[in-house]
Amino acid sequence: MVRIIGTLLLLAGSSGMAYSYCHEQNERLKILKNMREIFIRIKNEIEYLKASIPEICFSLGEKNISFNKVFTAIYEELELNNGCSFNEIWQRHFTASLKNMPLKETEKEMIKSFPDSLVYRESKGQADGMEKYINEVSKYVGEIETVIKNKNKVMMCVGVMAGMITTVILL
Amino acid sequence: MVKAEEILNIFPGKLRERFKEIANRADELQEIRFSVRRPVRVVLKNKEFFLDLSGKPIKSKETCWIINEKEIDEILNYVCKYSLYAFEDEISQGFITIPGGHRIGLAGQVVLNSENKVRNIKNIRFLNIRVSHEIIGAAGKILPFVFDKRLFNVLIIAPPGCGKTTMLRDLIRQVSDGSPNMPGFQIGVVDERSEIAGSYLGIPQNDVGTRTCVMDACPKVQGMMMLIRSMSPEIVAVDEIGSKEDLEAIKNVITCGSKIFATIHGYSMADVKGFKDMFERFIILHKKGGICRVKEVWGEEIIWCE
Repeated sequence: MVRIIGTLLLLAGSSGMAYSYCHEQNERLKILKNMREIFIRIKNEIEYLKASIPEICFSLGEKNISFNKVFTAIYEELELNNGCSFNEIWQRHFTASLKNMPLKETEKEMIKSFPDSLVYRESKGQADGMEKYINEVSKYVGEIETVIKNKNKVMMCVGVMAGMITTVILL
Repeated sequence: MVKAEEILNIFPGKLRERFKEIANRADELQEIRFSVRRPVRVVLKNKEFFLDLSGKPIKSKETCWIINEKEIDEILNYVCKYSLYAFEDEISQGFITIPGGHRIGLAGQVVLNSENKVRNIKNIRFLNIRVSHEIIGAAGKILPFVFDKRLFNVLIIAPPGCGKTTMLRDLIRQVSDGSPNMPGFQIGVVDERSEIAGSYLGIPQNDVGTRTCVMDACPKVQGMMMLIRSMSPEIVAVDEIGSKEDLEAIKNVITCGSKIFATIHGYSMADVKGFKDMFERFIILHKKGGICRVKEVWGEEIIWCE
């Protein structure tokens, strides 16, 4: 009886680990897709409304999208006019927000470096400059999407197999 | 009263410290001038000083603060809220209006479009921060000449720096608000250079009265007709008229039944001969002892002189 329970626990544990990995990958894909949507919204606000950065942050904070609370916090801090640069404020808020998210360091750095792109003096140029971020996120999204289904299947199989092998060895 | 906070809010983090002393003297402050690789200058009560690294106004150049390209870029980026693209129209006109109605003049390398018009300014290396001083009550003295049982078309005449815009702004405020002796009037202001109302994001930063609407950053000629059509003002106010097109637009305004308040560069009645048919009151300003004053008031003939 104990052996059966042990076997089941081992199988459940190893499958759970595999599931957790797969879930993390799905979550990573979801975050990157959301980020791409945010960058597209920023690009549109710049291109069509010539909105300034605080206005964009306010508008994104009002919408029901991921990171909206982060944008509200950034907007509020910008409005304080306390001398902090947008770069500092963005870095601080996004470092805290992305800290426990299942993104790779390169992906986190890409998101945190967004203020570096605000160098253009014309809205058309700035909107084109935003394309770089949209393309980069799209590249990450594309990479994950092409492998995620097979990778998840493999990981689940490996997880279950690992549990079974461990069970056989222990038995 | 210019608030110290308004001056400090122009500057980003570390530079802000250097302006604390100057900001505390905001009421005396007229200009802050930045020229790349040159000393930072401030004008306090018509006197020019250099700023040292601690932000103290000094007379000697030796220990003064020499500003570099990076610092000028930092100020510009901060003022534009890190959204230079959002200020492209203002930059192409050579100035930015900031909260408080203060104006930052810009100079650098001009980028032209295919029609040889200014498209933008790059490598901005010179900034001139002009502190706006609203003088409430400045037009009190001329009010009896502007409204006497009825309103008159008014032209304020003065050389540069003699307070034309300040006088016009306060005249607009007082006529718009009204008084026990005068009803309030609907006024439409065409603020081509954002100097009258000092609008920031469309909100007037200076008090221009209860019944005043402002068409900000709009060319005078178009703005006057737009206001007439859309807001039906009893008075249209414009700053610094002079061209033939302005004259035509003013004629149209008067034909439409509205009154006009305007300013023009000049020293005497001889400088405004072409405007005599259109205006009924001419207020001539001058500077005496460093103070801007009303020198003469003319109707068909001189009505009042200092």
